[in-house]
Amino acid sequence: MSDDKRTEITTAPEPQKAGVFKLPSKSQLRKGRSDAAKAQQATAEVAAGTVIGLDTDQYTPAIIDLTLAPARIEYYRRRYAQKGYAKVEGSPIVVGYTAAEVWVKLAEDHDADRAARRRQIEAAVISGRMAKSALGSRAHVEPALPSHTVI
Amino acid sequence: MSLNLEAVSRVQRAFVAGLAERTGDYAVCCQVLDADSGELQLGSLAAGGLATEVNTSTTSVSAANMASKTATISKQAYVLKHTVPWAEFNSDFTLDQAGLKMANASQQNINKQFFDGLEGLFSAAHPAAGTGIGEVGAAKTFIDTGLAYLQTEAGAGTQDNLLTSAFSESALDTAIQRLQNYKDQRGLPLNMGLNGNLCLVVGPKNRKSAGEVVGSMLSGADMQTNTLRALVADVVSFPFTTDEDDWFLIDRTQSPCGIWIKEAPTLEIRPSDDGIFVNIVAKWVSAFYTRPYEYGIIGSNVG
Repeated sequence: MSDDKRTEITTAPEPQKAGVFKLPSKSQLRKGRSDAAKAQQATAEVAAGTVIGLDTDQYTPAIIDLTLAPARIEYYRRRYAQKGYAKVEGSPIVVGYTAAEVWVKLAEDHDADRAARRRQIEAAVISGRMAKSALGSRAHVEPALPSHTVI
Repeated sequence: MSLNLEAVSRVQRAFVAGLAERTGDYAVCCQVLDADSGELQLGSLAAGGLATEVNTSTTSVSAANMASKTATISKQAYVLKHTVPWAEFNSDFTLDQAGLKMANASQQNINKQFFDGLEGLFSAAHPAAGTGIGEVGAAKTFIDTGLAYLQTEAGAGTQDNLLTSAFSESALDTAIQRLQNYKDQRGLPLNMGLNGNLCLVVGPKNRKSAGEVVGSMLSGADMQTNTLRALVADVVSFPFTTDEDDWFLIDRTQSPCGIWIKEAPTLEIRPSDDGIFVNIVAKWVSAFYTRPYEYGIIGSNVG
């Protein structure tokens, strides 16, 4: 443990005294336990990397971790701008990140750009710059077995 | 030195030494399959799922769907060929270099086959794409968002193995969390990634950063223990062709994609019919494979 860390711990604030807190009311607490609130909580469960509050049906995010070195942050900003993303203003929260910058593009544009990349890969395969493997492999699918009840 | 047995032997020795000297990077990232068949068929059965409790009041148990998928991989044969005048192919240096360079080129071509395949997964059709039972959704790619499990059944849901994040410690931790939370086709959480057998694949631009994130003893500004060290066994860097910002995290135990080597590289040195030229040919048969399901890979592509 470094000296800086030790200093930080020894100068931690004292716990607040009882009676200083502003507690939520009992009705607020009961409301938090209601089925409606729990249902809302369930939909609010989000995976790591999710941008809170972003409608991903409409927008595709691109995330930059702001704990990276400044030069790398700047590199990614330029790359994202080059790829057609625009920076989201404010301070969006990204699950799992201490501090993050979020850039977005329209989901339909993202899909179009993905299709364009596919064409780019196909052209690269034809010209010999990429191996044929970049196009994927064939798959055969067998039918599912039906569900039934066993007594 | 003329093209005699000693010369051929010298080239062959250099070739074998070259192959042994540097194991292909692909072998660090995946399971290398060596089945000797015309086609490679990789089957997967979507069976199991969450168990039903049986107790004294149980009168019946509903049977769950079972779906099987087979990914069929076609072999691909490759050669590297040089034809040189016999009189130019006569120094020890040339013989040694011929063997060594052909070995390196063979390995690097198989490397490219693997990493090009990896790069293509963002846009390559998922082997189980479709709207039926045991399928992952219409028009889905191997690395995508909204990949379905338990499709058309109770408990159906979707999951993502596609991230759109610049590489960083938080992004890598996000990928590991996704692997842990990943469910199989029957909706059973797989908790992948904790056996210390993960491989991180990055482009040259992210190589230094990836090495630091994985190799450091301490993590973050608050200098806590770096828990990623125990999970990510290897960092592999390869120059991607279409987007250098892509990165992948692969669970090698699952090895959802990899390389099939039907015939390992060999080298032949033969004089031409008229004896004026020497043909030097390296050849092998290999293919990039994807299993029927995508379990075990997370990819990041800001496209």
